[in-house]
Amino acid sequence: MFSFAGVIVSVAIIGVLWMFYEAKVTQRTRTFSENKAHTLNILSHLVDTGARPERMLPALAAVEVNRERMFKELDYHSRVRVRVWLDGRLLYNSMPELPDVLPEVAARGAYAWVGWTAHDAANRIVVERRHEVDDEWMLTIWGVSFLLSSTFFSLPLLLIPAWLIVGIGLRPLRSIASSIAQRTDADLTPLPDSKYKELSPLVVAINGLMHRLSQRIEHEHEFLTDAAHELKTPLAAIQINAHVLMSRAGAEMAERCAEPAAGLRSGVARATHTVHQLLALERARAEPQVAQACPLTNVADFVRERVATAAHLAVQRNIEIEFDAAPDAGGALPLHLESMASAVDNLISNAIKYSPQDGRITVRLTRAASGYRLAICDGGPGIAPDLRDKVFERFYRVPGQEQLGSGLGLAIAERGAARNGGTISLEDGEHGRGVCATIVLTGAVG
Amino acid sequence: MKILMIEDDLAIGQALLSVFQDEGHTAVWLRLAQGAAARMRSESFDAVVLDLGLPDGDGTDVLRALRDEGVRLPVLIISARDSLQDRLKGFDLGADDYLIKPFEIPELLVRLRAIVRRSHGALEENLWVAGDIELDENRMLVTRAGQSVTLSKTEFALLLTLMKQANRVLTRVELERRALPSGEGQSQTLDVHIFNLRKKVGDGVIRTVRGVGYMVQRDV
Repeated sequence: MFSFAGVIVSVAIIGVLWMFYEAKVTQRTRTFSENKAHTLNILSHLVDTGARPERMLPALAAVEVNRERMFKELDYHSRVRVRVWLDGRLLYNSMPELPDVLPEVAARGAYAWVGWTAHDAANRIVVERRHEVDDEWMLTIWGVSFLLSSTFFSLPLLLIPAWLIVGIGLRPLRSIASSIAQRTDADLTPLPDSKYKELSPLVVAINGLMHRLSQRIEHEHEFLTDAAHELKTPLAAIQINAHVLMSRAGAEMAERCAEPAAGLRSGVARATHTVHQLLALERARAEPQVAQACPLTNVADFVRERVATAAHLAVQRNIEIEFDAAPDAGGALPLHLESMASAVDNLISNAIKYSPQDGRITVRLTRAASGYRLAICDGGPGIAPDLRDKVFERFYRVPGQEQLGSGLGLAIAERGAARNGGTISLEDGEHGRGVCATIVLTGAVG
Repeated sequence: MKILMIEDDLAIGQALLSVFQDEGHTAVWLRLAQGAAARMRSESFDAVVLDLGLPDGDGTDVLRALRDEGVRLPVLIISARDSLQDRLKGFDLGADDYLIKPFEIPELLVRLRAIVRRSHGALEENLWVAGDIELDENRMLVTRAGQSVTLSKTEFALLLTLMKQANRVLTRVELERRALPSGEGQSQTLDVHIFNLRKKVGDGVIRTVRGVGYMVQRDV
């Protein structure tokens, strides 16, 4: 497969091969030039001796000694052959053991040689110097470090553009990532199209996933709503039949059956309440597909209306309920009315349910740092601090209590508050009795 | 009275039939939407009890067809659909009342009687009772435990507003708007009228919900 890694590896291999080839050629030309200079040097020495063999041979021996010393100091291992002819007769051969003709091209086990032949003006002295080209120098630590050092020192120059390219190139990706990170878990709307062509497959894939996810959530939501609705019909049948049963039983029978009849009625009422709470819970859920109007609502008026609606239940049980809005709490917020109403209604209904007879409930609205704070405090048994997170779970009910309920009220309230950008917390009630349920609203409707 | 019931569910239909028979009503039970129109043309009914989810169509279509023909038969919808949109749609199409399943039978019977009475052009209810207080709107009379109570015009309007919506707390704004003569918008005025009303009617009738408003309890 043609991949990015494949391209990198092939470029690296081609680069290394090219480097070796270049080094080989360079080595050969350099050796050739040095050898030519040495040859001409030797010739000029020999011309100075006046073409007398007895002075030429010691001079050649001295040149050879100097060369060997230099090669030793430089750790060169290549061989050099010098041959000198005087008047056509071979006078000197530094390496007589070598064959007459030396290979120009390297073969297996044999290096290539470069050579130069020079002669004086009268053509009496001919000097031939041949030099082995040391290919293996490249494989020594010196050779390798020489070849790699350029790469090594150019690394920063390569990395700076790479760093810039990665930084600039990933900027659109980062903007997509941050727009995903800022979303709430209910927001599954598609991402806007990226203006970079390279990123559009990613955006399309994420949007596809979001679409499938929201469809699935929608299906589950529909299933739950349908299931709750389906329960209503059999509940209605039970309720109507219970009524017929009791109305047809005679007075004596009705008296004897008063207790089971009341049990039947309260059982149906409880199941009905649970079904309605389930539907309310589903309704309080944010629906991203449906843009619903969130009108700017006066918070104090809104809460007063909710208290007014619920107050008769409190008055029936002789519970005093009181609404107290701070003078500066008269401002307006955008509210999703249905979910906010079910949040406040559930908290008030809890407060009424758990207040003792002749108890007292205060609903207090104050300004908070960035919005409003609505505290609903009762004088009931309260909730132990370690249960205050748990009571928000669906169907959880504090053990050992006698009040009937679905266990969904706080979950609905939490969802409703969250939909209106608020949070709910439970605290100790006033004077250490009961519980205060507090909604903090910021006006950021979801 | 004679009731036409359109309800597809066997259990609910049978139970409701028993209820109507026990109450001395005559009931005709249809389980499909299709025969409803013909039946309503051939017989005369006092009221229709209509379920919305029918196997061969929606109950709202039956209602629409009925109203398009100009038939003014009182219709009570009984449905499991409890969203505000569904209820509003029902009323928009001309339903006289809307009851959400499951419901209490006494409530069904009361509402049924109410829509039939209204369709016969009966006078609006004008006698209001809360506890031992009686208020006759037409004759502007108030009695407590049989003893007549004399009220000013504003006090009478206040008490009437509260008793019309007994068991519901009316906010100060609502009371000022509905019961006080226009121009008397100052917040102390309402308190003064309530104070006087309480003095005349006696204790335990008008309850204060502090920070919200006032209410009259229907059953004390």
